[in-house]
Amino acid sequence: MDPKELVLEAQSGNMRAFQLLVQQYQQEIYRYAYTLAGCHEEAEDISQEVFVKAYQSLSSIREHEHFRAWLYRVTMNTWINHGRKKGMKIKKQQISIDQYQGDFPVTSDFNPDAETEKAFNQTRIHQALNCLSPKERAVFTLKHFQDLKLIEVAESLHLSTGTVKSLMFRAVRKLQKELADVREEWLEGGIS
Amino acid sequence: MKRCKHIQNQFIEAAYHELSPEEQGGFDEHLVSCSSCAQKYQEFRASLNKMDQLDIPEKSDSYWETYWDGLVEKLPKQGASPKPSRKKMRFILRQPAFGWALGVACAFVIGILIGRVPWQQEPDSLANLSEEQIRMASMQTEVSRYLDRSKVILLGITNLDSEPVDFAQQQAKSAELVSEAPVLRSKLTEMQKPVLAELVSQLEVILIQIANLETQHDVDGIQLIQSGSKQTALMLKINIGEMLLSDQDWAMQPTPSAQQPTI
Repeated sequence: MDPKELVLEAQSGNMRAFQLLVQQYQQEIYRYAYTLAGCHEEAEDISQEVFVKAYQSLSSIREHEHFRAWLYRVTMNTWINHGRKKGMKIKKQQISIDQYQGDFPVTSDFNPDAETEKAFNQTRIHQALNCLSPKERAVFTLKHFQDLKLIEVAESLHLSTGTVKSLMFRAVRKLQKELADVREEWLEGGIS
Repeated sequence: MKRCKHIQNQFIEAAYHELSPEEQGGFDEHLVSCSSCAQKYQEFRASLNKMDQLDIPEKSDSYWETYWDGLVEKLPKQGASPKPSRKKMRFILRQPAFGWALGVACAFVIGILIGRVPWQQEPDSLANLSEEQIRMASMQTEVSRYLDRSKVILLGITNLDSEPVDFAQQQAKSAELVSEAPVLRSKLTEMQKPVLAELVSQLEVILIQIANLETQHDVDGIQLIQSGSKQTALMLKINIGEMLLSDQDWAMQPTPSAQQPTI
């Protein structure tokens, strides 16, 4: 069923329609939350909170055709609020290599050096993302990892396309700077 | 040179394949003839390629199969759920007509209050005031002072232009207000002043943001605060809060005689 129809159905009290909406967007919202928060636990909390908010706001949602964009916006706001609640700056989150050890399964072809290097590179990427302002990060992750078009990013975050482009340029410039010193080992490391 | 600027402005669209075939043709053609732009574009792409290496681990199928069940437990019970009145209020508050109506109503109420003050009978003596009334009056002063200080900080931030300014003093004051907020809020809740308790909560969120601004150059942080303050109509709410406080009956009533409106 079309998301717009599902939203209308859910607004009329059809719980099954809301369940279908959740199932349709749960993975991409979780993924966006992960690229924003940088850790599973927080991504899980944020994505669940987003759907609870969606449920609570069903009656006031006017953007039936842009429900997905609305969810992205709520995800960004929820992430920012999480940062506020924790009483710290989102951009100051500290990422350690240990945090990523659990993401790599130990298999028969497990290569400790390669895995350590991979973990190191993952850490560097997260650190680079942490150097972005919340707005830059929200725009960059939506564009780069969620693969939305510029106009969709603008629509999701209630920004103009010009602002989205400007934030993207600033984000890429910062990332370039942050990852500049890992370029050599990156290429030599042969991680693909 | 002008052409180079135009081409560099298309880096994002080019990298994400969002140029039209004609634009893409012109873009490629320019890169062939301009080594400077070609080099810059290569560096731009290299950074994006590095970001592609970010590992976003997928959750297992079993996680998604049980996701809904876990979510349902967190959903508010039917009946109490889909229509929280705060959402409605926010929607109403955003309507321009509401702003005008509120303005007129405010002017009317202020007029009445001004007219009342000269004829307001003072209490016979301090001895006649109950302990509760004294507590309310002291609370009134405390909240009023809190709102005043918050308002000054907010005005400073919202009226800021793009020039870098040193926020050290405002940040210290914001941190001070944030630390006072929980006690004040709980007192207001205890005294059944939900509107003011909610206002203190909303102010606390913005004040935390201000206290956490990194430097005077944290333009994004400032913009976020400005838009947050605007969206939640905080200044208007402070003014309403001050009006509630300026009502002489506020301090004289041990408990509210009627339910206060929500902000």
